[in-house]
Amino acid sequence: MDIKHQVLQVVDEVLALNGRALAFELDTPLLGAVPELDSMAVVGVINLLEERFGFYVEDDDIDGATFATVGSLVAFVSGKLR
Amino acid sequence: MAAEAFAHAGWAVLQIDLTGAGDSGGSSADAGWQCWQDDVSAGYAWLGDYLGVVPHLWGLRAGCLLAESWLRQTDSAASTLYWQPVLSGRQHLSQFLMLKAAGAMGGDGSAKAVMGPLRERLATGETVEIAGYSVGAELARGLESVSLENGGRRHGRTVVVEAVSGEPKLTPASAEARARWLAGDAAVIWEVVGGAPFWLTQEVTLAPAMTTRSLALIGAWDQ
Repeated sequence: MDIKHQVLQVVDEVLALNGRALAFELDTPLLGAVPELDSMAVVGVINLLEERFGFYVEDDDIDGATFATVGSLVAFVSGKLR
Repeated sequence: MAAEAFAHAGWAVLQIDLTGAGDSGGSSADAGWQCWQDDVSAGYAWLGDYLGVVPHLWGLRAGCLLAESWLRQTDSAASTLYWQPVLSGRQHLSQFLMLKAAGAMGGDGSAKAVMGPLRERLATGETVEIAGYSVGAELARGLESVSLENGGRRHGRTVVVEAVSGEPKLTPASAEARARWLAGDAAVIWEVVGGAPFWLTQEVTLAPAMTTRSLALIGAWDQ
């Protein structure tokens, strides 16, 4: 399973970026760099990741650093799937 | 819109406006899981009385969990159509609580600082306010207790239709749930069609493929 691609698809869908997110690299910064990613969008991304992959995000699992870059978000998802 | 399409195909559709939601009476403080089950019972009985039919259930997102909960509680053999079902009530409740923690997560804080106290208040029977809605402890407990992840009911047919943008393929979570339903010998058809996630958007949109595919799949049911 290509986790990076699936994660970027979720980001693209929630932020309505029309495919722009699919070109993001692992070092692409997210929080603070992508204007569409406000706090509600962060929740939206978490929700869709949970539903797509079927894992639970616990209350203390996640903070702003998880959304620093594409790489940090992909690493978080990979960790949940292990 | 989808209800109209179903009506054109010869289906009588009763849309239930749950207590405390939408345009119906009461405020969100009056809503409750058992109260909503009673709303489903009332709608089900009404269709039987006035139309003399055996109704089927149709749910969207968390409404599928309510339907599933009702079916299990009443041990009904009704057929069900689920659209983009929320698979886990526990996860759905968390996601709702997370709305309140959104501000903290966008910054340096963690979600736990906000969500921990919310969960404690619900656990002690209190009502919490989130995004302008009152969520009572009984509603939270009811929602939390239902899941479609671990297999289906012994009787009654179930058709699940989901829409995804991009390649129409079941998500890992849905594929796993479907496998568990089939392993438990549930009569389930679980399909995916291409379409935008209309339940996420504020605008009124619809995935036409969902309607047409659903109508084809439930064609064998009694109208």
